Amino acid sequence: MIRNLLTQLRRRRAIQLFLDTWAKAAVAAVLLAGLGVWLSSGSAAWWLAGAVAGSAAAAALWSLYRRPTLAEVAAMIDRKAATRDRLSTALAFEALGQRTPLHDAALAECEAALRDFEPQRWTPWRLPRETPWLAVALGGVLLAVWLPRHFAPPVLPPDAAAVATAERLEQLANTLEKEKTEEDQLAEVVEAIRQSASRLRAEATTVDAQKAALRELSGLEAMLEAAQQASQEEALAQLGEALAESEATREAGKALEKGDAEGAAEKLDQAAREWDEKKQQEEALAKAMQQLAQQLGGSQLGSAAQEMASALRQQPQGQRGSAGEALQKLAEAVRQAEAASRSGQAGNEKLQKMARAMQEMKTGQGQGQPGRNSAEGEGEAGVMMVEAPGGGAPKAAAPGSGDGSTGSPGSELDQGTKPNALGATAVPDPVEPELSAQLQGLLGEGETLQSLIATASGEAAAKRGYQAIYEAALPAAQEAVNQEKIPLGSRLLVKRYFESIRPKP
Amino acid sequence: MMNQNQNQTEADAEAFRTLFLNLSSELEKRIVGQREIIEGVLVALLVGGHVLLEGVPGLGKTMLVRTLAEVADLEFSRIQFTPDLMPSDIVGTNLIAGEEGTRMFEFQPGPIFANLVLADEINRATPKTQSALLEAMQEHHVTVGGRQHPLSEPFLVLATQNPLEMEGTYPLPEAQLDRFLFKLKVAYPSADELHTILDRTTGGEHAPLKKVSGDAAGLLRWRAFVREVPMAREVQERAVQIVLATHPDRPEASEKAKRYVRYGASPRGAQALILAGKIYALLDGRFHVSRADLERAVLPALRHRVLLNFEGEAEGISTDEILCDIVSRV
Repeated sequence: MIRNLLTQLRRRRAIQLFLDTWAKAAVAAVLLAGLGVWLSSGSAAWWLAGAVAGSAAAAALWSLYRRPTLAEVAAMIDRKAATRDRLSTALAFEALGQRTPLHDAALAECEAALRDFEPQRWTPWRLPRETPWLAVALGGVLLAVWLPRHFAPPVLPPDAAAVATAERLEQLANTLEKEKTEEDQLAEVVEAIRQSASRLRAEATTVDAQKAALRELSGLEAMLEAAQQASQEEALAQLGEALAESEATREAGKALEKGDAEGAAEKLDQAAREWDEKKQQEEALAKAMQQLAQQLGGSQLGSAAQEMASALRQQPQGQRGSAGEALQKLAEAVRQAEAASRSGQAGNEKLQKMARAMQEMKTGQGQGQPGRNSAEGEGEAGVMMVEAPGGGAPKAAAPGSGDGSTGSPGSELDQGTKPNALGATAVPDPVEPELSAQLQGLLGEGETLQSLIATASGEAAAKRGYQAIYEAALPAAQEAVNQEKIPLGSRLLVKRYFESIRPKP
Repeated sequence: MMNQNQNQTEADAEAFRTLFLNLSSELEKRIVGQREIIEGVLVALLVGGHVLLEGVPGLGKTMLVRTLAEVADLEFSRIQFTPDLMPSDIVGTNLIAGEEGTRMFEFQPGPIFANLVLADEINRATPKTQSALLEAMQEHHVTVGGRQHPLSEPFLVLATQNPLEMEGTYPLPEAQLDRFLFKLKVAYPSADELHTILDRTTGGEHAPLKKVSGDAAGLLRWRAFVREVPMAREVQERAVQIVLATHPDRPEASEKAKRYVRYGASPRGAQALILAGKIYALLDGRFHVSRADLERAVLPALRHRVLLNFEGEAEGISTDEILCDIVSRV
């Protein structure tokens, strides 16, 4: 009877243990599943189903391993129900092979006392204590999965115009890279174009893809303008150095080195009028002009320098005619270069090409097919194309310019105005100048503060820690104190002493 | 046949319970209150253990032992321990005796040859004399002149000691303390109990006592009966746990035991727990020992077997506190 009763109770306890363990494991598993959903962006349903199934399996194994024995169940019920260990005793005595009359009497007494016993009352079903935590974890994971999906912006297909612009930028970068010379400036430009293309591809799926394309192109344009301006100023400076080689044009060269292009042009005009036919000057100037023409390539200044060098070498000795004309042309070229430098249109030929390519991409020209409306998704390179009123050929319009019917879009950008097409400042932030300073002073002078720090000498340092010494000596000290007959009134003092020398934790 | 044996067992258990209650009620005719002391002394008598009674003078310790001898119809002797008491004064000595020409040594038994021996103020005798009592308590015989002299059964020593006036005393050594089944602390009576004591002792004649147990042989049979009371191993495990928890160097020890105890209880402590638990089970109408029975015996059976260290004594910790802590935590 007792064994059957305990077997039923053990089954209940095992199921309860499984539920308790499952709840604990499920809390951890659900949290892990939430982490998995977040990291892998997988299906939350699969993760949660896996967590529930995995925790159930783990709980089942654990419950099977830790299921209570009959004796443990008996002891538990005895303790809870205050049965005076009748269940434990009856279970033990039932298993005995040979029993004395007192064993039998004990068994009979136990059974009689437990006849009306309701063990289920002491092993009621109850929800695991971790149930609220499980609900919180589950709710948290579901919220974490649902909220971002509910409030996330819709995913758009990649904008064809932005993608095409990015592709053209990449093509341009590849082309420039093939033509790349030793110029660091050009390499920087290529890298900037590649980065723009990469950013543009990343933003191609957003609603602001076209704005992003314009922003990138305007940024590149501004960068190229700055590079061209720097290149033109450098060319003028090189021309100044070349002119300074000849006595006749030295004044003009100095003016150019000072940045006074207008003054240099006047000096050159004056030199043309007062041209002194000196062989040495001609040769030196012709050589300098030839070198300059090679450095500047096919630019306007380069052509003028080349023409000047040819004129100096071809004219007969003592004749002024063609050399003077060449000087006048050079002066004119300097004036134009100065004007171009101010307007940002002059400079390196490659940079000019790139700037033109940027403008074409912004306006939808170039390799693209103008006339197609990008709103139909057919434009290959245009960014913002609108159809011109009156059925004419579509014209590109700068963003924010209205219907696109007024003038050539992007013209303002070409003039080098500071705000870009989006209305923001396109010129990169200037790099803050580095500050350097050096403190001046005299070494070896002034007052010196000296102090002597007293420490224990190496010979006097402890070889072992106080804690180790204390622990080693403690047993002997305790034994001595325990053996000693210490008067009652002094015990507290002795105890305080030993407490005072105890190492502090 | 089985039912007959069972009925006989139940009748024996009922008779035992009646005997115990009768002894207790007879003792209560003379001893006011002190129910735990009376119960402890009777348990020791029926188990075959010795008792150390500790209390201030005048609380009825000697009266209790004398009354017990009278109602149990046992031979009683009292030894007042003093510093000059010699071992031979307790166990007896060989004297020359006989007619002329036939003189020979004749053993004159000492006061220890009795069923109930009251060793009054045992801590006032020298260790040498105390050790003479040690052999008698453990072996139930004395050795004089190379000859062993068995003591009469049942043999029970009830020793008293006064916690005050400790100057000039010889505290019992640990080995001797372990021989006592119980150490009972005799508390001061309450106001009502004191009134009753005054009424009884300052009035007319005492109420007559009735002999209860019959004879010494009957007591020995009851001792055998008590030892037959069965006990489940799971319940016995509780006694083992409690005893092991008193040892400061054991992992089972409680925090208080680790800090304040110098030596824990011996295996005799576990024996005392179980034997006393069997008596408590029978008194409760059961034929098996429960954990509660063991816990009921923890304080009297173990309080003198747990020795405090210096820190425990300096802190004023009692062994009862440590044992209660162990029972509640283990």
